[in-house]
Amino acid sequence: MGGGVGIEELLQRMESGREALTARMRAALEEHAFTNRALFPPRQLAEFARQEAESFLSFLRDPDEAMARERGRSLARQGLSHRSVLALTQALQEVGWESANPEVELWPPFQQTIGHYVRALLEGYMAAREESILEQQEKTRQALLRALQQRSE
Amino acid sequence: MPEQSLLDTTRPNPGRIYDYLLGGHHNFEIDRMVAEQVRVLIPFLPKAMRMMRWCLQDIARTLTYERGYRYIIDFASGLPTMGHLHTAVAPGTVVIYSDRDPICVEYSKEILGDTPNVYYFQADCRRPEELLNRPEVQEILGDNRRVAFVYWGITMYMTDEDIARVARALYDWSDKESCWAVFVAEGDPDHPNARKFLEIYQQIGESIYMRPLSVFRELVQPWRPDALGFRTMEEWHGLQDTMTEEDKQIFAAGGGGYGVYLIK
Repeated sequence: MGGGVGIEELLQRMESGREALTARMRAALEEHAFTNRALFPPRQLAEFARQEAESFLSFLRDPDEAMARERGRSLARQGLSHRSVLALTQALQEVGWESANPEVELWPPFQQTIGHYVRALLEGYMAAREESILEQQEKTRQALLRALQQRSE
Repeated sequence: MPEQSLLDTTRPNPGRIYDYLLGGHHNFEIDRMVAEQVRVLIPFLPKAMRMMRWCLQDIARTLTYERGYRYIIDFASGLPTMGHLHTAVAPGTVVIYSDRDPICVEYSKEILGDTPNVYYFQADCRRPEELLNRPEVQEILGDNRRVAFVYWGITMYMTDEDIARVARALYDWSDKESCWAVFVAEGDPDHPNARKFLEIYQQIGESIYMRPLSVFRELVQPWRPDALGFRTMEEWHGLQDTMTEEDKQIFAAGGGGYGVYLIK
């Protein structure tokens, strides 16, 4: 984040409002629970929302885009749907905006920071999704070859 | 039960239709076309499939961390992708997967690689003794017969006779206090949409059997449900109101089926 006094204040507000952030994340995940790959039993969504909220707060303290990209990759690997990911990023924007209020002048730099996080998260998510599809194609090819080989032996 | 290979692309495949409805990529256009027909007829089906699949990690933890089973033998496993049993069991647990489709077996071996304590064999879930008596499996199990069997999402492909026979075979083979985790699909085969759904599957060469829970209970004798009993998927996951009234007319209320731990 920018490092100004106002931004520091925003960071503190987000930190102290982490439960509200987590609750919003959880609601976003629950809304789209049936769109995910079948890896997220509803009882695990609360913990997952907590992890996602912590990931974002960690980025606010130390804007490490590589970390955010890795988080996005992790979401894809665990089978989160794109609808869930978009809902999570929407929740971030909303909570960020609410935290900036009423100091509207703080919103643009804060929005920029959130935008950096979201962009890196989505980059990681999309890259991992593509890798996964290509990897599955290759495994299919190898499995077919092996099965055909065994049948011909 | 699914008779076709995952890579027979000349006709729709139930395994790939299932994969598509769960959001996977192991499917082809011909499967997606049928899946969309099914989705129109039974909009709740993808939800029901997810609720069923969500149970796997619970089952893995319950059987190994809470109940101390060291050997899990899973039938009609499909692809052991993320979230399958071996990813959630207690350390040291042996997981034996099986499927009748040779392509699925090879593909699964690719996925599993050298994962320790996890094995995959070709076997037909309707004849479990063939897997259990394989020399490789007997070597893995040694003298251990207190095991946990898993038949999750497959009994709807099995006839009543198949289920009764499997129940007896597992019971006779295993030791006292062995466990059998089973999912039972329940629905009304006479509902017009369900009838069309069953017809679609018959057209692609598969038969699906919907049966009342009371019938299933009789078929799996002498196995007995544990204290948790038969739980609907809503009860299992702590969910409410996942179904519309129309959904409830096709499936029984509560998520389209029951999960249970049967005990010897």
